[in-house]
Amino acid sequence: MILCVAIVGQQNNPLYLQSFAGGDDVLKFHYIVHCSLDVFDEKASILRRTGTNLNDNFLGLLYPAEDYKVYGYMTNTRVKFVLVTSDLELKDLDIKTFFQRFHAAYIDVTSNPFHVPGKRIASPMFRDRVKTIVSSFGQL
Amino acid sequence: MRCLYIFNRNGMCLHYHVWLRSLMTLSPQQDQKLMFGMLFSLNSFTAKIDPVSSGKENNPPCSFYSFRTNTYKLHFMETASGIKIILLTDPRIGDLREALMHIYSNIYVEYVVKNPLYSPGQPFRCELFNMALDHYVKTLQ
Amino acid sequence: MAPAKPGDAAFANVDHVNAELFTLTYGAMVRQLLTDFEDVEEVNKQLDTMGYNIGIRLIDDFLSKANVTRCSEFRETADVIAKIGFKMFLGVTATVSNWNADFTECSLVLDDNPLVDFVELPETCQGLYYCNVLCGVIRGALEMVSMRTEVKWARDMLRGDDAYELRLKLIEHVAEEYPYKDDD
Repeated sequence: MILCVAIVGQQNNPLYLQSFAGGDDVLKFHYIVHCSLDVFDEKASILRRTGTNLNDNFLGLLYPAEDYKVYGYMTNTRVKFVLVTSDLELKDLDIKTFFQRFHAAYIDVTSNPFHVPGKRIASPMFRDRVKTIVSSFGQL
Repeated sequence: MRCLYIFNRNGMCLHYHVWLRSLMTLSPQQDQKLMFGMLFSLNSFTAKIDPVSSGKENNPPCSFYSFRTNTYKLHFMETASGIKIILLTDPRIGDLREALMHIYSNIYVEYVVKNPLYSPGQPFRCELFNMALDHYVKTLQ
Repeated sequence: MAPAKPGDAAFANVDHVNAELFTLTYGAMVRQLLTDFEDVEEVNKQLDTMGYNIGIRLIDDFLSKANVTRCSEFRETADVIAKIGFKMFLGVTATVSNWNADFTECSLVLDDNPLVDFVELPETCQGLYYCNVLCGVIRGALEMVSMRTEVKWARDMLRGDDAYELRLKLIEHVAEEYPYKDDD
């Protein structure tokens, strides 16, 4: 089950965090996402060195912990998406599709002329859209 | 092709272009006022005296498009927005309605109306318009 | 539907621009106006004025490309705007409805509005008529064909309504007058 999704900006500033695990412990998710940021840079530089060009954006499993897994996705503008899930068996393909849909929703919300890049995303429409994407996760 | 006038609905002469005009008896302002006044009256005259049309209140049901004398022929076109284009030519030239439409849509609209620095209702002098007009007129002859 | 085909033909005749570029450009313009004027009512007025300036030029472009004859009454005018005008310049059609008793007022309901893709109004701008430019365009264009009108938004989806509806009201027909004094 997806516990939380987050968006972090270019300067590692938090742009968005939505938790689906019951409301409390949002701080724990902030902490998890923050810790995963180091892994982002490491993974990104590894991929660059090995020269893989396919699916540059999807960085795969960032780090596993006892009761959850963290996946990462970085766009070409160095905006990072983080997915925290408690499911231990998840197909990479499902996660990639999820991130692509999430990326599309992110593009739409940043195209709003009233959105200031770098500020937190507070749009109720985006929140609803993310909820839909999360609930249809895994179902093709 | 002798000369061209473009008027707007308020009688302002937006453009006057001459290729070949050996005789001009009046000053340019008087000439333009006379031209506009004559066409305005001729237009309403032809509409009122029309023996066949239904003539709904705000729509002139018929509009003349040319007249010919022994020394010249005058071609006229008016759009719904009040822009009047008049061409004076040699009397042997045929119907120029399509040419007038072309001058309106492809030359006037393209080079004058779409120019953001042009304020509607003012006379204009635009090099691109003149060039396009000259070029087009050459192809007609 | 007879008017639909000239609308499509006119649409095919004009140059096309990328829809997202158009939407983003318009959005940037509204943002800049809000920053410059800071007052929502003032921005509404500016959008209307800008629309008016566009309309008085757009009418010639429309008349030259759309191949329509003069409209004999206001009903026809509204139909032409909805089916040909909107189609030609925005790529969407509108429906005309809600005529009043003497056919001087009607509603234009837009099927779709390319200006507002991706847009969400923040709380600070709730009084803003984001697409007010369209009101000015129609008013300006009709003024150049001898009709004085008043155009307002009746329903706006950005403000929570369920559709985009313009209320178009004909104030009067301005007859063509001889502009020079008779004795000159």
